[in-house]
Amino acid sequence: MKSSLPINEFIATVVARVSYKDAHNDIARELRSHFEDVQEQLTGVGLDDKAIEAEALRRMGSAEDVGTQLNGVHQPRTDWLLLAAVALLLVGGMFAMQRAGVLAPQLLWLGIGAVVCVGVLTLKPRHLVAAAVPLYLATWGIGLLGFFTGPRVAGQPYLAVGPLHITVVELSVVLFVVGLPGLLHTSRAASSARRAAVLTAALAPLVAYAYLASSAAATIYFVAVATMLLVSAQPRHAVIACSAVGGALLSLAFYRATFAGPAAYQALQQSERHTDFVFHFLQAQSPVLAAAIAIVALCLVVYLIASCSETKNPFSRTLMAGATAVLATGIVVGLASNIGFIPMPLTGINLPFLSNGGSMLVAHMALVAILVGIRRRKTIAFLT
Amino acid sequence: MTVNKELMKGSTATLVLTLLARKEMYGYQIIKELEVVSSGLFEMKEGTLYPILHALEQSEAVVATWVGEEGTRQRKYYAITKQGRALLKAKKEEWRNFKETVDKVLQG
Repeated sequence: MKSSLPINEFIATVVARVSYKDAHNDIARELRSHFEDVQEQLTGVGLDDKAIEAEALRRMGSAEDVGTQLNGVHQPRTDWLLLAAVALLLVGGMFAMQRAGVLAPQLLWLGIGAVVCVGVLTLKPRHLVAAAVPLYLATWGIGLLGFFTGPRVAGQPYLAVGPLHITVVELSVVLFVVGLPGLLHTSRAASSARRAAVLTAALAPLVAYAYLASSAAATIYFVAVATMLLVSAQPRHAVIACSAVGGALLSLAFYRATFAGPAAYQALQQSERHTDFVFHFLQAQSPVLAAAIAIVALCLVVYLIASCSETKNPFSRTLMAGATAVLATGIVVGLASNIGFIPMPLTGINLPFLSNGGSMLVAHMALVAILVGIRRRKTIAFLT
Repeated sequence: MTVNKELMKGSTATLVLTLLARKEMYGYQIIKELEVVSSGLFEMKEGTLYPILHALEQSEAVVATWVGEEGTRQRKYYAITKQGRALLKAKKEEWRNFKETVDKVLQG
C-alpha cells in the first residue's frame, strides 16, 4: 500500500506512544508491511483505495491502544549482571591498588571513567557509525603525537597530558576496535576497491604494533580484528587473507619483542606487581578474593561471548564482538600469564579493571558502557 | 459466533506459539492462519498481535528476522525458539488443567 496520510498518521500515533525511540523504526516498518499485506488481500474484491484503507485501519484497531501495549513491551533493560560482574572486578582492582599504595590516583581515574561511561551511554549505533572514520583518523593522530612527542617507557610511547600519562599503544587498540565496526559496516555494500581499502585500514595498526614490538597490543588487536571480520559477514576469502596477513604481522611483533634486547629486559624489570602481575599480587594479598575474581572474570568472558549472538543489529553485533574480544583476551591472557600458564612473562597486557593504569581503566569502562548500551537494545534488528 | 475478547486475551500467545511451532510466519500470515484454523471464530484486532509478538521476542520465545532487501518488499518473520517450545509445552499443560477443571465444574 502506498503510505497514505491516514496510515502514516496511524503509524506515527503508535510509535509516538513508545518511549524507547530506538524501537520506532522497527515498529513502523512492520506496521507498514502489515498494511501492504492487507491491501494485497483486499485488492480485487471491488473496493476502491479509500475503502481498502478504511478497512485496513478498522481491522487494526486503536492506534493508541497498540502504541500503549508496545510501549509496555519495549522498555530497555539494563544488564545488571554485566554491571555487577564488572563492579566486583573493580572492587578487586581497587583492593590491590590500596595494598600497593596507589589507590588515590586509581580512584581519580575511576571517577573519570564513570563520567566517560555516562557520555558513552548516550551514544546510539548511528553515532558510532558516523564517527567511525574521524575516530580511526584521530586514533592515528594520537598515536603519532605520542610517538613523536611523548615520553618513552621501556620503548613504548606515552602521551603526557598535564600530570596524566596516557599509554598510547594500548589505548589505540581500544579506539581502533570501537571505530572499525563502523568502517566494516559501511563497506559491506561498497565496491571491492573500497572494501579492500577498509580491510587494509583494519590491518594497518598491526604494522605499527610490530614496528614498536608491542606484542601485547598486537595480540589483543589481532584477536579483535579477526573476530570482527568473522562476525561482520565479510567474504570468506577476505577473512582468510586478512587473518594470514594479520597473523604474519603478529608474528613479526613477537619476533621483534623477543629480540628487542635491552628494551625487552627493561620492560620486564619495570613491570610492577600491581600492573602486569596484579593477579599474582592479589593472590598473595587475599587468596579468597583472588579466586572469586578469577571465577567472575572467566564467567564474564563466557557471558559476553554468549551474548554476542543475541544481538540482532549487524553493526552492534560486530562492535560487541570486538569489545568482547578486547576484554576477553585481556582477561584470559592476563590471568594465564599471572598463574604461569604462559611460560614467558608477557608484559603490557592490562588485566581489565584490575591492573594499575588509569587510561586503560577508563578505556575498558567505556567498552563496558558500549556493551551495556548494546545489550539494552539487543532486540532491535535494524540500524536506525 | 465470536469469542469474548477477554477469553481470547489470555490464550493468544499460546495460539501464536502453536502456529509458529509449525512454521515461520510474518504478522499478517499469523492472523490469517488463526482465522483459518479456528474457522473464523478467532478474529482479533490485528494491531493487538504485534505487542504479543514483540513480547514473545523480548522473552526469547521467538526470534524475528527481516526478509527482503532494502527498497524491496520486506517482511518480519517470526520463528519459535527452544525456549518458546518449552513455554508452549508449559502453556498447553496449564490449558489442559484449566479446561478439565472448568469442565468438571460445568458438568456439576
